[in-house]
Amino acid sequence: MMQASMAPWLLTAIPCMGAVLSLLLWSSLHRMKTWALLTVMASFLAAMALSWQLQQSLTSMPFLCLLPLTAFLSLLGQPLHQDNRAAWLSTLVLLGLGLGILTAQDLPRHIMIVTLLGILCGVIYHWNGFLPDVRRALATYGLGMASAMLSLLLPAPASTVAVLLTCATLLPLFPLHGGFVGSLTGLPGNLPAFAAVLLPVVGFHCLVLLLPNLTGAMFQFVTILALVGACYGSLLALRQAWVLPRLAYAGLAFFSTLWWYVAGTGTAPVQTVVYLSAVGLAMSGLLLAWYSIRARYGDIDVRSLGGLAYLMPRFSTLLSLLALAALGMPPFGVFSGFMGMLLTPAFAPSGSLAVIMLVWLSASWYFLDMVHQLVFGRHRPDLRYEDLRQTEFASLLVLVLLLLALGIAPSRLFQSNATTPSEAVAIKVSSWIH
Amino acid sequence: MDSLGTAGHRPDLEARRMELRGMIRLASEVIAQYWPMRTFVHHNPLHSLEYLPFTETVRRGQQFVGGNGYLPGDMYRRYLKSGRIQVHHIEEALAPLARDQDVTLGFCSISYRDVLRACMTHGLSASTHEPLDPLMRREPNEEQIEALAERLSSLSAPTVKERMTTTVREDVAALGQQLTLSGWCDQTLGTHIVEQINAELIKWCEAFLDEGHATWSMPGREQGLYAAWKTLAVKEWTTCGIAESRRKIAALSDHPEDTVFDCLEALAIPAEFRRDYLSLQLAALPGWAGFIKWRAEQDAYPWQQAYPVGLVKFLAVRLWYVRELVQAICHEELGIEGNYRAVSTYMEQHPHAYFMRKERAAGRLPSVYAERVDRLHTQTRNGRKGIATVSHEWEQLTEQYQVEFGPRRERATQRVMARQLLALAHALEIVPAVLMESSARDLRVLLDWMEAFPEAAHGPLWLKTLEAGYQDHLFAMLLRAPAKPQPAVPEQQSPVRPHSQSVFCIDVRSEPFRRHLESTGANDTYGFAGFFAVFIRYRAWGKEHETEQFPVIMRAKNEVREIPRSYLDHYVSKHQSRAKLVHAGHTLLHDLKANVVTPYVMVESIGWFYGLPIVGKTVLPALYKRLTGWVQRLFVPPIATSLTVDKLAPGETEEMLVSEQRALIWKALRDRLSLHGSRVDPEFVEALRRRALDEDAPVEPYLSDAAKSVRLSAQQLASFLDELRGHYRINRRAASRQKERITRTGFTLDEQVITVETALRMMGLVRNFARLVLFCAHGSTSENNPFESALDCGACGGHEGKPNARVLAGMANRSQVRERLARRGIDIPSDTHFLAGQLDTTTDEVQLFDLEDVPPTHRKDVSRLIDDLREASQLTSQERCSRFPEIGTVLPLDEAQASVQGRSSDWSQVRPEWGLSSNTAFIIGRRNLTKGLNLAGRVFLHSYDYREDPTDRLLEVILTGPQVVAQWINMEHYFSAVDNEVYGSGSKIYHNVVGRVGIMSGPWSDLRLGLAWQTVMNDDLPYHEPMRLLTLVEASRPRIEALIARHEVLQHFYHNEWVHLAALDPEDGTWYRYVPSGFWRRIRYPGDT
Repeated sequence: MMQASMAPWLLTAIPCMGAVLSLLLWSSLHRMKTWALLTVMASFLAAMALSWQLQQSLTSMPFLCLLPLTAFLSLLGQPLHQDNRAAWLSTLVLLGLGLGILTAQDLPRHIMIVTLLGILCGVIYHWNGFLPDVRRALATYGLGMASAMLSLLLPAPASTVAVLLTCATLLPLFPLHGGFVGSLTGLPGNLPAFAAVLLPVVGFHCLVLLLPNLTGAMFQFVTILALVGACYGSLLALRQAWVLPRLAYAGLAFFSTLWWYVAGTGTAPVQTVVYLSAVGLAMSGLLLAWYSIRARYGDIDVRSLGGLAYLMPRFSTLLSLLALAALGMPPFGVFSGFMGMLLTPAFAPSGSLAVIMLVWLSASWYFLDMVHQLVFGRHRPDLRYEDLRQTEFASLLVLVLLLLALGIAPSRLFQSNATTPSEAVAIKVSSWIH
Repeated sequence: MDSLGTAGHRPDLEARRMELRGMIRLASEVIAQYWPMRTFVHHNPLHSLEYLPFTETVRRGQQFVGGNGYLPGDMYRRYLKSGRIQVHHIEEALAPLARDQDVTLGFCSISYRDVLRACMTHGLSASTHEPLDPLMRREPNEEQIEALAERLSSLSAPTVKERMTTTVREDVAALGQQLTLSGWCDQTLGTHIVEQINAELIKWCEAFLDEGHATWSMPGREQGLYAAWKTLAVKEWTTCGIAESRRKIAALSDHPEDTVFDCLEALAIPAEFRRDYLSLQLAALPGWAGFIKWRAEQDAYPWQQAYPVGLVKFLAVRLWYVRELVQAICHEELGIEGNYRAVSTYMEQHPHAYFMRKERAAGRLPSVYAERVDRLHTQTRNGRKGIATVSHEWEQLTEQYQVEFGPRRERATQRVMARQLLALAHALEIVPAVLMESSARDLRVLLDWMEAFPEAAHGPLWLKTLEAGYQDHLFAMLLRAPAKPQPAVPEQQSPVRPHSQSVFCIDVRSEPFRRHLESTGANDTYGFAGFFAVFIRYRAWGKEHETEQFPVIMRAKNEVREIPRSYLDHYVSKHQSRAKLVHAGHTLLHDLKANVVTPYVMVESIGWFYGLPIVGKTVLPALYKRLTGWVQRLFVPPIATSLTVDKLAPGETEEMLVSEQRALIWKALRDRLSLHGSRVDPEFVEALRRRALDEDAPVEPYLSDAAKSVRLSAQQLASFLDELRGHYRINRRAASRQKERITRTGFTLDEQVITVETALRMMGLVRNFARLVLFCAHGSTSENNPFESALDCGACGGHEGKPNARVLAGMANRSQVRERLARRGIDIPSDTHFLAGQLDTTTDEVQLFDLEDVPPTHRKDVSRLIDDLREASQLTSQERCSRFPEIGTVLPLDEAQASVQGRSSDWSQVRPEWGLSSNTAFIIGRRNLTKGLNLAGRVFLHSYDYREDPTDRLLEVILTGPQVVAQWINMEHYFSAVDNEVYGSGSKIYHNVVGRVGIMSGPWSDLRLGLAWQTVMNDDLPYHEPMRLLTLVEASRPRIEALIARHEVLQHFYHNEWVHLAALDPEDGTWYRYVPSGFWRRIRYPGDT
């Protein structure tokens, strides 16, 4: 039997090797895409097989499944277009790094985080040039990389702060959300949909490992930032006319809620995993849905479209379901994850909950506004309409089903065999209080 | 504040105001009157423009209201595919456009006509948007498209600069005439001024025009819309964010005309554009404006008398918002004045900035450029840079846009052209390879032909082809009819007397019933406008208001009241008190629900009780309806009534008046003085009456004595008399008014004779009378249907026709009337009895009235008629059921009957009936022309016998009366079907009643015009095939021509192609079609050479 220390390298190597080999199929789009899908499936199987041997934190096991699944679904509906090849390739590499980060220990993990952020910087810059938003993203990721490196060199508690900064660039926390927003708005092809899950997952994983080292003052500071971030994200999402920034800022608002909860309670129970997975999947689904519009009509202003309910019924139905899931309607995972978080004993209601409720209230407006705009109203007669193709439909449908499963499945299914640090942290937090 | 200046300026101002009112009247032509939903009247939404040709009116509708006048091309192509539209009809429609030109590609010669036909049948000229950077290629012939696009690379697409020049030129030309300044701001700056102004106007109109729906009504309405708005708006904290709105509103003139004028001046709208500009403002909310237009013309309408409103006031309010918001936005965003001159100058002097902003607002820019436009716009607004610098940057941005996206756009355009050419090749069955080998010049010619025949130009042609298909079918049926058209030979009296003769409304829903009734036995049927030539204002028993039982284009001078039969006098007060109790219960419940506090308690205490109706109406609607009906009858049993058909003689009027006044005095004595019958002398009552009426006369000694005898002091007597005059309305003025009302009630004998004679002659029923003649009106029963009146009789002003039928039957049964008629040549046998009835078009049941007046000798006849009517009812239900999409098959008779009854009582049913849709033609002639033909409920049938109309007076009435009503119904359906969003009222699902006058979509919208989606559409295909009315007349052509020459409305109909006309000339028994140029063209029969 393989040694556990080899697992991270193997999980990283499979998709990365797949990416290298896919270069051989560069000229054939169909084959390259098929190869990418097969690679992701192999990664998924490997992750499943190895996860039983790994004694990791509670987050590793579900996330090891979630990352390949998201990568697979984001690739599945991709149209065969030469502009997408780089994105497919990057997806495999990022998947490898993501799996590696989830399973690797200190030094390798930090190196992989730096590599991951570096690749993201490269792709964003290559694709967009040096626009103001890109500059913000590069600066944020630069800070994340520097922090990750410094955390290896600095003593505690400075190293803790450095890792926390890295986490904040991955799992977006105001004011370090620029990278996350830049990734969702500036990455090509399916990458935004994959990044919507990958970045928060990796960030959250690091955060959970860091929780025992965080002090009460740090928690309080993070709570304030999280509340500011939730409000800021909601306000900017409300202001956006374009879909991608709206989704990116909505993501900031929802992930800030997670920060608020973790920092407020000092715990990361299994419900947070459900919540994070559900928010990530919902964002990913909405980004993929938007991408199917982008693939048909180019970089079009969403306000110039409408009336798709009759013309693209499958798309409209799935988009509506994804929006409902994203704004936290039952029976989808965002709702059950959030409710589960609130019902844990560690959570004590406070005034800040009202701010979080406002986040949800505003989300119900901007998500539904987006759906309303696309699904209802008058359609443009000068456009040719084609409903989702089979692969697009399948990927969105599976995403909706996953969100449904997250909503109705018992939370113990997401519980890892490993000792949950959250329990230890909870005890520690309570000891501070005394 | 009154802006009137010195007295010397007054005449000028008055003249100016009058001129403005005239201009607004003309400007309002583009919007139709909107009748309140209680009396829904089908009408042409572009009625005021009928003096223009149909196609021109449709164009104006597009310009002002934004409505399409034809179905989308794809819909017509579906008709073509299904065989409903024939290719040879397309050829005929294209004939006038065809040019003798062709292009030779390889061995193929493509004519101009081929291209036009292919454009229509394959939608080649539909404008398509080609995305600049799509990631998904969809066409299977992608390689061909690319190759052909490459071949067309020499054909350049317009550059950004060229597009910019065109845009500026067109927009400058459109501003003021087709584009309002507020619309310009929205399309240039991405603002929502029009939406904002509409929302304000909806708010004010909704509150002001409420007719009893609102629990708290708007204060100050008696001042009129403009003054009431001023009073309230001046108290608003902020109005649409307009700076100093309170001061500005307070400073407005008291005269709305002056405000309109000032606003037009401030907006600098050129004088020659003002009418169109005002039309555009009215057309922004055609529903509310249409209702105001209607109400302003109803001087006698109680709500208008109480709360006057007019379009001038409406426009004054609207234009104030327009002026303020446009000026504020233009100043803030562009730094220019918000008026016509400044905006035109801006477009001409800053074309780059204007073009890019417009592209940005329309969502046509890629996100990168959209952001750059936003940034540049912000810099301009903040004034960070000089005008010259900013102007240069806009120019640079436009150039960069051309450099970066110009080639892509050009390529996209070439791809669009390639796709068009390949589709043309496919349509003409040409191998695509031929296109590759052809010269670019030839391909350009083909593309030019297609471009010159855009999809928008296909509508009129498609409409003709759709109409031609149906008309061919109808004429073929008429020619196959059992009774062929015959030359005019006086018809002999039929040897066989029919069992019954029934006269139905001309409504298309009567046609199936008539057909089935005729099939049950020797029952003859006739068609006549459902008000049966009886123009009455009618007040039903127990109702407080009168209804107008005649077409809205007419007026009435007679009133008819429903009163309990004389033998039920003892029961009336009991019935009234019970009815009042029920009414009080309803009012109490309503008040409890509408009160501020009580609902909280009410919901807890009796809220559960409402569960019963909800469950009943939802689960078992028919049973629930029967049950509630039974309970209602148990508590307040129906009462037998008669109508006041006869006019009272002057003496009788006086007697009736005196009798009513005496009864009131008895009541007053009892209620006020507790003096009961035994203590009161009738002479004392009479003395009181005389004294109350004649205040100035000296007090009769008898009155003083009688008062003393009942212990009334002089002071008490005087006070009681005052009460009689004030509270009980026993005074001279009230008596005179009452006498006038009584005088209007009923018909004189002469009027009755004329009414019956006109009706019988117009319907051609002048001989061979059956023992029973039924005048069958129609009404409907449906639940949860705000537009229930739309299903009732249009000829009766959107009411049930029952009173009219009862009045006519009552008149025709009078012996004096019959005697006079006999002298006029209409000999009604003494054994003929006229009956009144009503067909319920949702349940297909016929209810007969006044059966107690039927002579005993006719018992068997009535019984047989009832049986036949029941059978016809079931057959009609069966036929109707097969048309409902969710049934679609022929049900057994019992099931069909149960099904239609269930529909009528189902509160979730969006189609309680579906009869009026699909109307297409109006046949004026004898029943023999159509007897036995299945016209599928699509034809209005008006009985008319030209032999009974030597002077053409009757035909004149039919063409200018019933035909107009039929055309309104037809046009309402037509426009609602072709563009349901604009001319129709959208889906019923979102309808909400507002102000008891109409409906809105959702909580906030314009008053929705026209018919609902579910009424005219079956899924996504029209159930009502939108075609113009075809009128078929059995009469000689010269006589019809004379009538057309005499009536402008007929000239508009036929010459402007609003209605098609064909005639069966009795001289030669041939059908002729009337062409708009004023000639007749013989209709070819199958087999004609």
